[in-house]
Amino acid sequence: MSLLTVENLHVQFDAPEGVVRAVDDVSFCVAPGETLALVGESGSGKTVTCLALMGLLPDRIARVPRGSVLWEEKNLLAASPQELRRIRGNRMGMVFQDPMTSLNPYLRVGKQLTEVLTTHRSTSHGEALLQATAMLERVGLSDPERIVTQYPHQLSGGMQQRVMIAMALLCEPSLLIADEPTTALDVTIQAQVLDLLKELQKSLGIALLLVSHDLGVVAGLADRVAVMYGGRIVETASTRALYREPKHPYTQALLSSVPRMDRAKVDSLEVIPGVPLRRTDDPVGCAFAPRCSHAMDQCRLERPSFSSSPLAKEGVQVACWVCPEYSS
Amino acid sequence: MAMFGLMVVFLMAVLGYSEPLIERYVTHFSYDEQHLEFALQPPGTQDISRDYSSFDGEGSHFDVLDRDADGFIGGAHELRDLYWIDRFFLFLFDDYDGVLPAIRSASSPQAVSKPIAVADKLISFEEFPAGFRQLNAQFATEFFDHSAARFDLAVQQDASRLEGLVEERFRSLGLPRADVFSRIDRDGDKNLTQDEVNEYRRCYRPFEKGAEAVAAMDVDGDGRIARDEFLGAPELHTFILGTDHVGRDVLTRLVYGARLSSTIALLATIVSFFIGVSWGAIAGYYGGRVDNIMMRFVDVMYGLPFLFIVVLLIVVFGRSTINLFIALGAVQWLTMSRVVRGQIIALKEREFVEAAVVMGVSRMRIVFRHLLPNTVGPVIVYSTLMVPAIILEEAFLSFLGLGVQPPHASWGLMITEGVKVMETAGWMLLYPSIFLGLTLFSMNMVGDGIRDALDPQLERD
Repeated sequence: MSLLTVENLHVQFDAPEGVVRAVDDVSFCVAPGETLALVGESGSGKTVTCLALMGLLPDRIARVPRGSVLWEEKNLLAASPQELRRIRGNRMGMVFQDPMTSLNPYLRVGKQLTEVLTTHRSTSHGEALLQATAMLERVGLSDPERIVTQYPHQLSGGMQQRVMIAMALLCEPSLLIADEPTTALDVTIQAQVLDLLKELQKSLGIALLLVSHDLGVVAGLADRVAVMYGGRIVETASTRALYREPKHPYTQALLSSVPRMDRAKVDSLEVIPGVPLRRTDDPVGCAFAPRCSHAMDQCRLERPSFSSSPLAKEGVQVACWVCPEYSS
Repeated sequence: MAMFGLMVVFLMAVLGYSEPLIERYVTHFSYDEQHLEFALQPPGTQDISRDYSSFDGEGSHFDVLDRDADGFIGGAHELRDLYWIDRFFLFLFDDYDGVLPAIRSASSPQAVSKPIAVADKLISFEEFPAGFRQLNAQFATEFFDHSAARFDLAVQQDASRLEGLVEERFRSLGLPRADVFSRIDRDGDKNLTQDEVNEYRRCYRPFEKGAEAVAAMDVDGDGRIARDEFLGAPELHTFILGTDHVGRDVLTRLVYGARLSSTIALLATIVSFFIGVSWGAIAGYYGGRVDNIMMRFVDVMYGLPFLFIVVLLIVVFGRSTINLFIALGAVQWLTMSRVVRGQIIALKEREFVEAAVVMGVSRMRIVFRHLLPNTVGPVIVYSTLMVPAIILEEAFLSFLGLGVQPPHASWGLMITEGVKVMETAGWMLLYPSIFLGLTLFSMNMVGDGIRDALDPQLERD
């Protein structure tokens, strides 16, 4: 049974220039202990998907006309604030993109860490502090006793992200959502944080939903990858299969636009022609069709969908009329 | 700098609230006790109104004593007249109880004029020996000699001449004829023993000094301390910051005023701090309709003249110092709520708030634990700016007769009074202004210090 199941999720924003379909019929599931990566370029809807999962969508402008987010059979979109609060932080942790801004500058690290425990568990303050220092040590910070008395600005970026990860893990969640956890960090720290996430995920057995635009990060960490374009998932495959043999033209183009050490050196990287969709566009057919070199008439007129539900069949799923697997 | 400011404010608070200490302290300013008769005058303790019937009953005494014809025996000069005449009457007539006990019973203990209280203590008539009333002519001469500075009595050897002069003097004051000497010389032997004279001298020494002090103030030598003579310029040993138009010591009033002004300002600031911060924080965080309704309410309150609201609150809840600061605070929180709301709106989109939401922290806890500490800088600075604003507003209300009432002193009121006479008596404006300015300066320094102390981003060693 999967831990988190997203079915036909739609998220729309009311913008002055029209309705923005940020997430358009997205379905995926995360099994316990699995790492699923959501990959896509900026504006493809991966962060909005994450926000919808956590119930962080801005109420006033965002609407979820259809779809459901099932957390062990419970629909989070229909849950009361109290129920949601019990799940968030407790069963689901989240690590944000920029640790500098994700930590409250006016609260000591210890206070912020123990708040999670005192909110969800009836842990005493002293006990919570002990657990917090243990967790800080677990995420590879030396001298945690000193760190809990410090303010966030006294820590380096890598340390701050480790604190964030520790905070997310304190209540021993079943799922960790990491929204571009390494984007704000420099390269060497990125590697360390990724190693840490990998190691923690293995040892604690938690599921990880990794959101990234960085195919390198994804390749090293994910079990499965879902590629998003224009608010839709265009391809879902195991990491190995996706990198070896991308099926969707967009995935292919995406991979060939990234330099790879295992390929011959090329003079210039390939570029995906055209421009991404405008926010308010609502193409009848495939969202990638205007930029796709293989596009047929059918692509522009009829929207491709996964041949079978991604819930039923594991493995490669492509939403593309051109792909031979799809048409067959 | 912050520490300096904090110390100044702390010192002021100690000064303002330790009344017994102050009284003792101020007492030491003068080099002899009689000067206290003029120096130590708590505000608002010395007016005896025309309604005081037992005094007014005798006819025209009141008008004679009420030199400035304001319907009050007020101010040290008029009171001094009253005092001396009262002493005389006590001295001359066995059946005269004196006005002082009546004043004391008519008013609260605090309302007994300081000069009277002090002088009265020094020359308690109960302490007079019984033989005192057996004055001989020589002694009477001596007595009136010492009193001459006040009553313009010439030194006379002739007892009857003296008696005539006393009568004349009494008549000029509009007092009933006093059969002075016969009453003094009760057994008619016109003699007094040396022991009795010595006893008298001992008891009466304060009187002599008092007469000297009055003579020193009596610049034009007419035997009276006129209004302009009382408007004393600052002088070492007596009134180091001068006196006001009714002879009240400016320093004393400043000390008393500090208590009132700082109480009102601090309490009003606290009131507006709590209302404004919670209001602004909730409006800012919840946003949308809640924000709209709450902030439109603020706009409406802004639209109303603040004086109108204060007057309304004071009229409804009664005029008291407590209501005054509540009313001022109830008006001042508007700007505070806007400041806080702006800050919260800027902050609530920050990721650490989302992080807190994701951690399952409740809304109220997010507002008050995560967001408000981040607004502390502007809020503290604004609060310290509010303190002077409230002191000045209180002055304005006092000027309109809604704030602190004239017998009491507040700095604002003193400045208002000082402005009226600043050309002739600059010190009445200068010193309250300096004190107010110093306080405001200190409050800002304290505000800076608190903000720095609360800001974890600043390096602390």
